[in-house]
Amino acid sequence: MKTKPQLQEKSKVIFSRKGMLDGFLKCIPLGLGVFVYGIVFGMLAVQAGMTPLQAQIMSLTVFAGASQLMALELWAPQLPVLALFLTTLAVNLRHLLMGAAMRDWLVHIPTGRSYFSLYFMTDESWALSVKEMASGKKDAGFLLGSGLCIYAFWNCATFVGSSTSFWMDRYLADPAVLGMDFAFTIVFIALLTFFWRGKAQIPVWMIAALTAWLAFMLFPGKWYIIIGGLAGGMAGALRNA
Amino acid sequence: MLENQDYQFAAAIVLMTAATYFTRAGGLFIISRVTPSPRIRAFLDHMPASILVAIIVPTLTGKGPAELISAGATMLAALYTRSLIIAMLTGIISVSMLRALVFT
Repeated sequence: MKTKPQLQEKSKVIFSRKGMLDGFLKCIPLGLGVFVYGIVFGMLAVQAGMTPLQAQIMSLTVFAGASQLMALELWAPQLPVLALFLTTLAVNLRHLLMGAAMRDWLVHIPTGRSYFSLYFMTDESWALSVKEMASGKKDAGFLLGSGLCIYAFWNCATFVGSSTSFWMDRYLADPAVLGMDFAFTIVFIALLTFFWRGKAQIPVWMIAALTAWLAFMLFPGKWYIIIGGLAGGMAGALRNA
Repeated sequence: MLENQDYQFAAAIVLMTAATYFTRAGGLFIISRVTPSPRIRAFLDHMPASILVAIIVPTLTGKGPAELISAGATMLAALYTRSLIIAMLTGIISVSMLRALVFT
């Protein structure tokens, strides 16, 4: 079972500090974007009734932007623990797909390293890493390095946001001024462009776009990411196999 | 002394961390235990770009010409320079300039 020809071809995958550093450095521009949202989280967390310490603990352990912001919606003197758990699970189900997509790197390095790296995987570091993997790079340390970069920015930002409202009032009240509200879209568009291989992809991407848009209109939360990703993957599988 | 609220907070953190880690690790756990058929491989090959498309689409709906032009400029910059940083700067600078100067 384990000795498939496909796997042997790709067994040159390594996991080095050089790869980690490369991932960390390349992720800094994305980290800056995360920083802005981290400040917003820190500030809103305190307003929602968390102490700065609690907000920091959450950023250090849960480490998931969308889930943490949604948790604030549910935050109350009597915590709805089960609702928090289920919401977090639903919001992050997309990471199941993203983790599976990192297969070509992660099945070839020691299991412990794979599962440690995955703890730090975010949308941003995943997108950067999967592009790196698709372009033929073989150093799986990149995923951990880029994840640690986002982790550092997210936690510093949580600290800044929860401990002071100064910056938000003065400079970040309107992120649109700096184009920061659109920065994530820009990053994901650039990364998507790197996946362009030719016109054969157009129908697959159209199906992903259409289903994602429909799901976005119909369902709350981030289900549209999972639904669009699955629909595009299935469209590709039907065309190619 | 730990109060009732502290226990609730601890329980919330433990469960939320378990939920995020389960989703992060679960995909690899499943996919490393099955031998992918060509069809599954094709599915996995097309999924990353599809996820990116899905992330992007709702952020563009209802957006004006400044955002759509910058999105196009970002794609062109990415396509021709193959550099993420140049593409990012192109997009962010063009969206803030277009908003400030043209589509105010």
